[in-house]
Amino acid sequence: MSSHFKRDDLFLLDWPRSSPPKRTCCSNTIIAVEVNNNIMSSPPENPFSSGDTDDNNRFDAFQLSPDKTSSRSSLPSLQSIQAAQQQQQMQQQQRAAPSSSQQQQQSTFDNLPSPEELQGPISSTTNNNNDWIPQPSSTANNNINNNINDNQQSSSSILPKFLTCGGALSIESLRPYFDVDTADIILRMKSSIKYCNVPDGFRNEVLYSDNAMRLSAFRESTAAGGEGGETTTAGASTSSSSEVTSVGNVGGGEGKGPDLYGPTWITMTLVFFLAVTSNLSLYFHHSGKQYQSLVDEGGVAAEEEWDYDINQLLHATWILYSFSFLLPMGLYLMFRLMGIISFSVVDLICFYGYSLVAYIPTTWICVAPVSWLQWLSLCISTVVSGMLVLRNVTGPILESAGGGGGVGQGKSGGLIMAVIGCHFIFFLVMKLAFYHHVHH
Amino acid sequence: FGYVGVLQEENVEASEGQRNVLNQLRDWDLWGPLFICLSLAIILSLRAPTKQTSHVFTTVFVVMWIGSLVVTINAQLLGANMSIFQSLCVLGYCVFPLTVSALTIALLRVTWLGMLWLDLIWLSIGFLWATRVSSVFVGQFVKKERRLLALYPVFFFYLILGWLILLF
Repeated sequence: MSSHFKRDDLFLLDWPRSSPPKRTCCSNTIIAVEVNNNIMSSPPENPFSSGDTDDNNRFDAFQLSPDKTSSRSSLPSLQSIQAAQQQQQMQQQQRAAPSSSQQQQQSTFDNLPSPEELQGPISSTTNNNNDWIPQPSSTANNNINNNINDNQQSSSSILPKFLTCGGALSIESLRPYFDVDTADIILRMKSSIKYCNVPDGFRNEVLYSDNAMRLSAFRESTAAGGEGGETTTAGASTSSSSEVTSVGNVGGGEGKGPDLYGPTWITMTLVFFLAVTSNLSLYFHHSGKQYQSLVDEGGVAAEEEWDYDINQLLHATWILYSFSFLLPMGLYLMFRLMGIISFSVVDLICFYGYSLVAYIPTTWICVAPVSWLQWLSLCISTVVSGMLVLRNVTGPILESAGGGGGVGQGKSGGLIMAVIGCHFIFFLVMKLAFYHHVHH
Repeated sequence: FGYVGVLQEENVEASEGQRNVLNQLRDWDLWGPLFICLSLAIILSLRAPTKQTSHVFTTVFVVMWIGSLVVTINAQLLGANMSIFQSLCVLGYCVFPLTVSALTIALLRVTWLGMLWLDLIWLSIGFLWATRVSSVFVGQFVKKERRLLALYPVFFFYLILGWLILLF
């Protein structure tokens, strides 16, 4: 077995940086971090090669941007991390089992510095027995030290893996979902209102076709390069594209696919607007009551102090973010369990995120503490946003029900009712939690 | 203030003074932003209603640090090549004008100048000043078609901070 090859795989585990560089006077730290920075570019030959580092190098270990890592390949996929993990576990098991072959194996390991020693002060402080220079040592000593080192390596590399959920949420893996331009986002936001009544309209025409590029090319008379591409999904129906091909789309274009910029920032904007407008409406309601009591009681002002409620911001945040992220994830799980595979998670997050665009003007209308106006405007925007979600979601559900896929007829109706029900609950929560005025 | 320039130029070029500042900020540190954040949080929580003092302090602190982090990560996801800590440093130092206007509002509240529309004026001065260098800083890393996407969170971040200042 090639130990050198295995060491490179083990080094894959170290990115993003597993050991935070500590401001200690331990020189091992600086050298360890220096070697860590050079891991991908060259095999670990001499960890004592460069003794000096500048501060930028040390602290840019936290940097997740690719400019320092431009020479290296992209973040290894989950499979390679798991493969490396399995290899490491196999090595741990092999090291734990005392055997004569192990001693030979360890002597080949001793030629190269073990990856644990490159981790930093966590493992290096307990690793004093293992020097860089290979030396013959007793089997038992090596066993114990290597076991400790292995344990510590696995514990010191857990945090970045945990933070990025095993690489799933790292910057590199989320970057394709942010591959949008300003014009794309504006077009998607406009289409979320425009195409809310078109079956699969939003999905086909905005996410998975190049209408955006054709529109910009049509308007600016410049050549629109095909940027990125997502394969059109199985559920995309081209029959509905005929009514919206005003720009001469020849069908089946490769669009940019769903993005995550829109949902996150539309939700954030709506959180802010909700918190602001709900407090404004409560303030106007309160001052209106004060004025009314002044008029009624002839000059005695109400004694209640109106205070700003900062909790509205917190409630708005968790309610809206669970609506636009957790709910699509739950729906995605449900769809997958029922065998509907035409959506991805990001698709659903996109639907729900862009459907919140309909609520933005409503929040400003609801500033006026007039109850029937609030109910009416919230109703209208719930209908619009619900239509957007429904029109794009029911297509594949009904297809998989009709085609004898995973969903029976009854269940498909149930799923659609569940989607409608979630929206209705959201509507009620919006009204009652944020714009509810208690009339004394 | 050059916002239109930032949005429309191909390569954002900082002016001479701004370039000096940005070069100095390359050796980032987080003590300054921490001090600014603490002073802003203390000012706001002293004027908050007594039931919500700790809430306000926590909110300001969390909004500032998590907000800067979110803005930075958003710019990186859009393709910017900047380091997290340097941009935390720049965004944190740019909160300083908002702290100044918060202090101004707090001091003027007890005098006859403490009217809402005057507060808005101080606040908008602070907001415009705060967004000047930070928008140039963030804008120079992102390509032109996406610059508004990267700058909107910056504006939004300072808007949230300004709104928190206005309330308390």
